[in-house]
Amino acid sequence: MNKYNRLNLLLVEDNPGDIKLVHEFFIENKIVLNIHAIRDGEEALTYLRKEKIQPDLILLDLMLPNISGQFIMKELNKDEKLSSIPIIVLTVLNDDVHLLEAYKLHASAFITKPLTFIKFMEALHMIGKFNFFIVSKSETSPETP
Amino acid sequence: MDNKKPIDVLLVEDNPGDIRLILEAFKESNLQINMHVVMDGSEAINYLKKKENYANSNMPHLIILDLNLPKKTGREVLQIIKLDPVLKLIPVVVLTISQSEKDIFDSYSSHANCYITKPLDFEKFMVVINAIEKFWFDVVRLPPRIL
Repeated sequence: MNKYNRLNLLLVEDNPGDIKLVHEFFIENKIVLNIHAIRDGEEALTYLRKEKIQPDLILLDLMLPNISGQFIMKELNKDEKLSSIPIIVLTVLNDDVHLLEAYKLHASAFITKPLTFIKFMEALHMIGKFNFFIVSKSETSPETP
Repeated sequence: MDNKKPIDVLLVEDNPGDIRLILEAFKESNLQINMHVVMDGSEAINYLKKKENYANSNMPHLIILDLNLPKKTGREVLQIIKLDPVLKLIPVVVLTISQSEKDIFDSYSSHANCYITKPLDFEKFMVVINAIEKFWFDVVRLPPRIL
């Protein structure tokens, strides 16, 4: 089940500290091969529409410059191929309105960013372990242009 | 999740051995997990729509769904859940012996929240169940109980 040497993660996040933490954790622990971080919602959508090799997983913040994470999910849902990329929402928001909206938009999971460093590292560990070592990914969608 | 609140899980599985392993693995959890088991696809839909014997069923926070099931397949059950405006909010973990690329792709296209192939080895099976518990109940925020 471990395919870390070719796993690609797209991180859509505007907080530089969080980008650094996620990047260091997943690369140093050899959980994924490559992390592409995009700090702007509109840029993320353009990237996903143009890129031939799609990410195996998207970690998506909701509050982003230009367009929101929710808008990105709505747009991806309209596209047969892009809609099958699993999305994990990773946000500081913790209210039921945003939670239910994210699940309604087919987020795979909704995670509220833990406030302490240690808890955040534990959450990243489980996100990596579960999504890259336990869950099976489709080979069809990400590589189809 | 709040450790004090019980978590309801609907397990849709027809293999008695797998049911037993999954129930035992969750029993060891520190969390209060109420497992509800149904053994075919039609029962799963009856449970979720509170029909027949399930008028008082507890809506689950999470569904663990096998694909190869009698009466209605897991594929049909998944589609019914994810096309329903309310039921679609409940995360569905597909847990199946199938490694077929078509099943994986179709499940994600039908908006399964994740797809897991059952390991045949006992210890690996327990690792998988443990990871489901840790990820979905410790890290993820599940939707509040609906209906």
